[in-house]
Amino acid sequence: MKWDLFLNLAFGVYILAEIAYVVSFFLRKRKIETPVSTLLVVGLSALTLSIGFRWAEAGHPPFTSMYESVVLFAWATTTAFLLMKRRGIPSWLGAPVTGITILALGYASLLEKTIAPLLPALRSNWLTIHVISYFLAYGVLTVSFVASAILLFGSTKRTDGADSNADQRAAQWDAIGYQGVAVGFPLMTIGLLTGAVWADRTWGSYWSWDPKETWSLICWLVYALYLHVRIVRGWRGKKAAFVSFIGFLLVLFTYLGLKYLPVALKSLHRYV
Amino acid sequence: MRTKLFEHIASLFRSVKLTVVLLSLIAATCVVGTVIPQSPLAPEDGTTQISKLVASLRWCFRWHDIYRSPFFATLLVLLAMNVIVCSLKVFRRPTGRNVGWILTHASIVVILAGVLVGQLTGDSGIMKLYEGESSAIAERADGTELELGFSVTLEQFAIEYHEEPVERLLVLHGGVEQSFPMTVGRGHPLHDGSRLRIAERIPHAATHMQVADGDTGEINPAVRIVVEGNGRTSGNWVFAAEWKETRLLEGAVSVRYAWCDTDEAYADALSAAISPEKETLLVHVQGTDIVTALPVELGEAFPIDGTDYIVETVRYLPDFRKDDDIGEPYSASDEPRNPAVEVRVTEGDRSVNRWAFSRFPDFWRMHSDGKETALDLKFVRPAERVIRLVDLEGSGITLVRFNAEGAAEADLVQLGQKVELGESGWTIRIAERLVRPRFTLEATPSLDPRADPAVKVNLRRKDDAAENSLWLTPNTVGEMGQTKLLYSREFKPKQYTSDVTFVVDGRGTDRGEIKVNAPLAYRGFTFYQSSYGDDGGLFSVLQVKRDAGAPIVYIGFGLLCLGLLYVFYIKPLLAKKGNRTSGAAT
Repeated sequence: MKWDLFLNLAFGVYILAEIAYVVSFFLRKRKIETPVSTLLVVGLSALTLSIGFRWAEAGHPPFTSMYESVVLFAWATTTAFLLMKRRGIPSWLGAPVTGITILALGYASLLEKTIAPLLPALRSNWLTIHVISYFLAYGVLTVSFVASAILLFGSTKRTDGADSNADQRAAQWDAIGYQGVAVGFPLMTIGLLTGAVWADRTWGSYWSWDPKETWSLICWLVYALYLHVRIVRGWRGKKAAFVSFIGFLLVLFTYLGLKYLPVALKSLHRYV
Repeated sequence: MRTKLFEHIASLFRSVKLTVVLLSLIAATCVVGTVIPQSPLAPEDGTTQISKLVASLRWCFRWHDIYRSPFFATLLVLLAMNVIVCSLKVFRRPTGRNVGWILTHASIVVILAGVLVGQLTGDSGIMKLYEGESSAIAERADGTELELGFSVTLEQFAIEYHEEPVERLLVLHGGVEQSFPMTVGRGHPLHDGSRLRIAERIPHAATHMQVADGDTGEINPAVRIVVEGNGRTSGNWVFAAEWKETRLLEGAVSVRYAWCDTDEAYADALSAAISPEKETLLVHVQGTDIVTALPVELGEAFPIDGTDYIVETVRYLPDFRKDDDIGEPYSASDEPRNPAVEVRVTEGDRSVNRWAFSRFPDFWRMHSDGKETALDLKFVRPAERVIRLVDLEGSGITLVRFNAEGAAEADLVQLGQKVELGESGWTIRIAERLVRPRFTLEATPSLDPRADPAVKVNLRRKDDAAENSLWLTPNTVGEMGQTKLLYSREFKPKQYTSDVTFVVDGRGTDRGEIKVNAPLAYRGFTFYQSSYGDDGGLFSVLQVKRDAGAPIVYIGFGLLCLGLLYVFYIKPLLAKKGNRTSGAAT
C-alpha cells in the first residue's frame, strides 16, 4: 500500500532530521540548518503523499480514525513549524518539534491502520474543514507550547555566563508563544464552530454538552483567557506562558485523554 | 445620582478582571459537568430531612444537570453583561482600529442571545415510525408530547450498505479475546506466544465437510447411512447423541442410532428400539425453551408443565382437505396423504382450535387464521419406514425394522451390507461408522460468483513445531482445540434514508426524503435521520426540532470568525504592508 510506504519513508526522514539536529547541537555547527530544513520538507512531502494516497484509496477524507488523526497531527505540526520558521523563529526549535512529530508517528504505528468504511454520520463536507482547521491549530499550538515550555523550565543563562541577554531571550520566547496562539486561536475557533454547525446538521443540535465538545470549549476558553491577560492586562513572560502551557495540556487531554473519562463511553465522538 | 456602589459595580463590569474570573469559572463548571455524570431527568433524591441550605445549594448548582443550573446560567448572563458594558466603553471612542474588537465581542452577545431564544422558544422530540406508520406527534425528552400540526408517514426506510464488507478475524485463545485485520499472509503473535497466521483466502469458495476417525478426542459416535433404490440415493450422518432422529427420503425413512459400551446399556437401548413409535404432538411455548411431547390420543387433554395451557387433540383426518375458506374440513381419502390433527388449546376460559399438519409443520408461519396462540404445534407421525440401530462396542450393530404387521425384526448387520426395506424397492446400508469423528471443513474455489469467501488460518502453539490449520466461512465459529475463531464479515451501512409523506389537515400531501447529514425542513420543523432499529419490524428514528435561535447563533458564529480572522490575520498583514509602503520603520 502506497500510503503505508510513504509513511515509513517520512518516519525515516524525520529520524534523520532529528539526528542531524542532535549532532549539530553537540558540534555547534550552524551550517546544518539548510540541510535539516530540506530534510523536514522532504519528510513533510512524504507525509503529504501518504495522506493523499490514503485519501484516494479510501474514497473519503482520511481523518476519521485515531491513526489518521495522529498522522494529520504530525503533518500539521511540521507544516506549522516550517511556516513559522519563515516568520523568524529560531530554526533549532525544530529539534523538539521534530521529536514530538517522531513520537506521534511512532504512536501511529501501534494503532489500527485498516481503512474502515465511513459511517453515515461522517459523510459530510464539514468533516474536512472541521478536522483540518483543528489539526492546523494543534500544530501551531504545539510550536507555541514548546516555546512556553522553554520559557517556563529552560535556563536562559548561557554557559559563558553572560545573562544580560536573558530578558531579551525570554521576550523572544514569549513572543513566539504569543505568535502561536495568535495564529492558532482563530483556527481553533473555526474548528469548534464548524463542528457545531456539522452537529446541527447531523444530530439536530449545535451543542449537546458531549464530553469532547465540552472539553474543546474548555481549551478554547483557556486560550481566550490567555489572549485577554496578555493583550489587555499586559501579562508577559512566565505568567502568560503558564496559561498557554496549561492550555496545551488541556488540548492533549482533549485529544488523547478523554477516553479515560467514564462519561466518554457515551460520547458521540467516540470513534476518534 | 451615581452612588459609590453603582460606580463600583460599573467599574467591575468594565474590567477584564471580571472577564478572567468568569471565563475561569465557566471553564471549571464545564470540567465538573464531564466528571460528574449528567442525568438531566434524574428524579429527586429520596432522602428527606435535608436542610433548607443544602436544598437551595443543590437547586442552585444542580451538579447532575449543571449546564442548565441557575449558577451556570448566571455566569453566562454576567459574561454577556461584562461584554456589553465593555463595548459601551469602546463605542464612546469608536475607531477603525476597534473593528476587530467589536466583531469578536458582539458575536459573543449574539451567540448567547441566540441560545437564549432557542431555549425559550425552541422545541424538540423524537419520532419512532415503522414502515407504513403515521404520526403527528413527537416525544420530548421529558416524555411529553410535541404536536406537529401535521402528520408524518414513513413510506419506506432504506439502508444503503458499503460495497466492501469489513472483514476481521476474532480469536478467543486461552481466555483472551483478540481482533485482527483480515490481511492474507500476515502473522500475529498471540498473548501466550502462539502464532496465528492467515494463510489463504478464497474470494468465492465451495465448502464441504471431510470426516475422519480420531484416536483421541470426544466420543461422539456416528454412522453414515445410505438409502438407495428406484434410481435414487439419499444419505446422511446419524449421531448417537441424544437418540436423535434423522429423516431421509423427504421424511419417509426415519433412523435413530444408539451406541453402547456395556451389555446393560445395550439391553436398555434394544428394548427402546423395538417399541413401536407413536404419533406425537410437539408443543413449544413461544419465547421459552419449554417443549413438551404429547401422545396423540383423541379426546385426552394434557396440561403443559410450567404454563396454564391445556392441550387436547380433538380430531384426526388422514387426508385433510378444505375447500376455500368456508365449510368444514374433510378427509379426501383413507390414505395418510395429508395427515392432520385438530388441537384445542385452552388457557383459563379461552380456547382456540387449530389444525396441525404433519406434512407442513411450518404452515402457520406463512398463513394466518386470525387466531392468537402462544403455542407452536408440531404433529409428528412416524415415518413410513422406521429403522433403529443399536451398536454394542466390540460386538456389532443390530438393525431393527418393523414389518407390515408392526412387529419388530432385529438382525446383526455388517458395514456395507444392504438391507431391503420391505417391498418398497429401497435398500439401506451402513456405509461408515466412526466413534471419534473429526469433521474438517475443506474449501476450494467455486465458479459461483455469489459464493461466500473462505479463509484458512494456521495456528502454531508456543512450544510446538507443528502447525494446525482450519478453514473458516464467514460469521461461523470454528474451533481448533480450545481456541475459538470467527471470520467476521460485516457489511457496514453507508446511508439511511427515510421516505416520508406529510399530510396537512387531511388534505394535500408533500413528499420528502430524510438522510443522515441531509435533514428536511417542513413547516417550521426540521427532521433529522437519527437512527433506526429492528424489533421484528424495521423502524426509523427521526429527531424533530424547531429552533428560532439557531440562525441568530449562526450569525454570531460568522461574526466571531470574521472578527478573529481580522484581528489576527488581516490586521497584522495590513500593518506589515503599511510599514513597507511608508519606508523603513523608524
